[in-house]
Amino acid sequence: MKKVGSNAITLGEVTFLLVGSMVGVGILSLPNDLVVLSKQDAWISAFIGAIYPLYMVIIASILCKMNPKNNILILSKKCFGKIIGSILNIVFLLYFLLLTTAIAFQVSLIKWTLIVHFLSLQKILIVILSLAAYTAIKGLKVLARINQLMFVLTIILSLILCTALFEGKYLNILPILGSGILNIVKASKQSSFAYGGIEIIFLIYPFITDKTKIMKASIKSVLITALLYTWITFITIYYIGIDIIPKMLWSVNMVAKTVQIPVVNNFKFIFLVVWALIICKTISNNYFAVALILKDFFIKTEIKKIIYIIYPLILYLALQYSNLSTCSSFLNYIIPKYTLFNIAYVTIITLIIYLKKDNQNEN
Amino acid sequence: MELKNKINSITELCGNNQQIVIRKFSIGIVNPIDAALIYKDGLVDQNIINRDLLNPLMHQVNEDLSTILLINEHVCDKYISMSKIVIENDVNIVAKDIKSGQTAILIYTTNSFIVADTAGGEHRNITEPMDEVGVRGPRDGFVENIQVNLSLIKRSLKDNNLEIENLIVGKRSQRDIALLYINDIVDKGILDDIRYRLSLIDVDFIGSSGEVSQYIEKYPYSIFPQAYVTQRPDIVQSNILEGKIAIIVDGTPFVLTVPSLFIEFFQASEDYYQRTIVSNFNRFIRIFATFIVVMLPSIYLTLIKYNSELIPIRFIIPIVQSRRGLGLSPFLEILAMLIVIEILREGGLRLPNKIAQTLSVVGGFIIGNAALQAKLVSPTTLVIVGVATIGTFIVPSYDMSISIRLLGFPFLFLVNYLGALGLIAGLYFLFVHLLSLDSFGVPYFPIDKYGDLKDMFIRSPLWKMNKRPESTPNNNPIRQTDFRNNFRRNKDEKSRK
Repeated sequence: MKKVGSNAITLGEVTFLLVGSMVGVGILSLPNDLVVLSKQDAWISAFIGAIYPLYMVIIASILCKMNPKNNILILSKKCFGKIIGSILNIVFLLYFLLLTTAIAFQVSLIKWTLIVHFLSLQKILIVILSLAAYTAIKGLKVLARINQLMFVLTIILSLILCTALFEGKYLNILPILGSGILNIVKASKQSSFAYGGIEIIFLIYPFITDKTKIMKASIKSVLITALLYTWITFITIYYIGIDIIPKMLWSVNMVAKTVQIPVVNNFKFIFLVVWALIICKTISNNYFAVALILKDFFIKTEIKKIIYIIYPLILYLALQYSNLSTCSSFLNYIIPKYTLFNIAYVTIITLIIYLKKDNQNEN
Repeated sequence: MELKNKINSITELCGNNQQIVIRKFSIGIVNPIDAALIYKDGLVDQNIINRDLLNPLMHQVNEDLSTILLINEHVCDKYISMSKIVIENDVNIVAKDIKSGQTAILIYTTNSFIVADTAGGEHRNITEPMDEVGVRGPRDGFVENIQVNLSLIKRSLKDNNLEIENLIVGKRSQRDIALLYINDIVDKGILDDIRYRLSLIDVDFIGSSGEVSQYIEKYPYSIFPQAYVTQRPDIVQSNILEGKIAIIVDGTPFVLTVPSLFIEFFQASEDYYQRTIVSNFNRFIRIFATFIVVMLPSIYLTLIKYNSELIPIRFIIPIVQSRRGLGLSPFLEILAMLIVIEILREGGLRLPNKIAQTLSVVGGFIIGNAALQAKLVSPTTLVIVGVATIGTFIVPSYDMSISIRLLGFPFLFLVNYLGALGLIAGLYFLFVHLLSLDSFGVPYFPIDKYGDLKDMFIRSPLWKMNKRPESTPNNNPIRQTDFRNNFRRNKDEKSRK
């Protein structure tokens, strides 16, 4: 019998949870980040960018095979000792804190700009973060299920954008590979914010019920995300063209304009309202990750209390971005560094655990 | 003397001396022996007692019974012309049986009792349930008598594995409750859980199955019903064949089936009796109407209060014109109308049919028209609120339709303060809440059971539903085989011949 309240999640739910952790606010401005370098080939960059999450999930499944019961926090303490391990864990914690606050801030900014301009940013943030906290309290299982439901919405919304196929121009994406392979690869670095959030797999793999097929499930999630990003970037370039994309903050939203439905003037609004629902779950995932890492430090405290306590902190931090340009320049500065840190952090831990295991076997 | 002691102990166990009737008599003409007949007044059929118990025992025993050893068995075999009869040694069980309308016969010389089923008393006739009317389905509905209800189910579900368990709940009311399930389909974990929860109920009185469901459900503060209530035997039968458990409470025509799923409340038994395409369309309409009930007033409020730029110009002009000179704000206007309709509904619910018609005419036509002319509400608002109200009647389950209707209110408040963000927040909160619910351990809103999509938002052809729904755990997934494939093969073979 499958209990809803528990934390154990199935393989299918892992796939959707990982897709849900990645697909969020980044996608709305992904073409903007990519076209700067790779021009009309930005959609290829979006696909290549998936190498980072792919690497992460492969490492995660290797780690899981060696140590199925302990997540990365315990392993890092094992490898580096209690003090250094804890410091590294805090750095890892800050990454999720960064994601939570950055996504929450960007979402509230989008909502403030395009949906509810009569509300203040604080009010929007309070509402969004309350929703995220409420979801996080319900536990990992519910989180996975809400991700699954939102995935359906994500797919529907992405497919709706097909209508742009009739209105765009194929000349917009030509010449393919014209911007040079080097530029395409370089640009793919810019997608790391959009792919950020995959790191949650290092925290949740002990909860997965069937640990033998984690690799397959997580690679599936990366592939789905990569295809989604490629499609969205492609259709945006196809419809709007690379010259206009940089002039818009959230260019993907513009593509929604092509959908015509009766009684409503503007489908962009509906698109954003539904997309805002989808982003809520990304914030919830990251919020939960923050609480989960903190739980490792305060083992005796209930996770519910942690979620309540960090709520004001997250709200305060999210408000510190103050505007979009500070936010994006800060993210541009910090995200590549964090990506490197994450890669190093998990790789080194995996290597040490692997070597230790070898030693044990020899002994 | 001993006879008197035994009778006393029975009357004590039954509780109230006044209601227990004790009829002393003698059996046999030659060498008569003393006996007594004990029953509870009002629960038995006097005719049966007179005809089948007293008459043969008092007048037709011509032999000398005092020489016979197993006198109870002898009397049952030769003189009592009733089929449902047991010989019972335990005084407690006898007392319990007497309370449920059976009659105990105590023969002076023996230690055991003869218990005969003489249960009688009036009960309502089997009629079509008023609030679950079907066009193509069977017309019988449950009544207040548990035995009649059980017989209604057993009549067209003759499976050997159908199990009936009896329980008694309520310290003072001591209601009979029956658990029904198919032994080789039901999930034993869920069954144990439900049995355990029912056995722990510690209340004075249970009036209806609605109370039982509130006592045993897991989320008492949720707005959604977690047990499916029905008055139709065909629904109960098909539900227990899906691995669910029926709970029948004596004295109420409403039978519970658990565990229940969210989508179940939007499916009618009619769906399966009608043709596939027709019932698919009906399901679509139902889901669409649910969406309208919950969201339409709040979407309308967002559009006219905050986002009027989204309404096409051809619509906005009449709306603006009709709103000119209105006293109430859009929010108050919608809220007032919704509340008036709730008052009408609640008022009409308990009125006799004839007065209820007057109420709907006065409430609907006269007040609606007067409110328009008094410039209290705009016609558009009235249309929106009216459509949203009509939508609630399309949900087949009464419990769910009330919940759905109530959901509209928080949405309205959220939207009034937060605009479209309130819509997002409300929807997201609703999703999280729905996904976190479970009914006796079974997810209330299953989303990873892809096989069940055949019978959720759509209804695929009946002969294609070969497996029982996975959403309800069961031990026997195969429901039927692909029998329609055999049709074609036979035809081919015939043509070859």
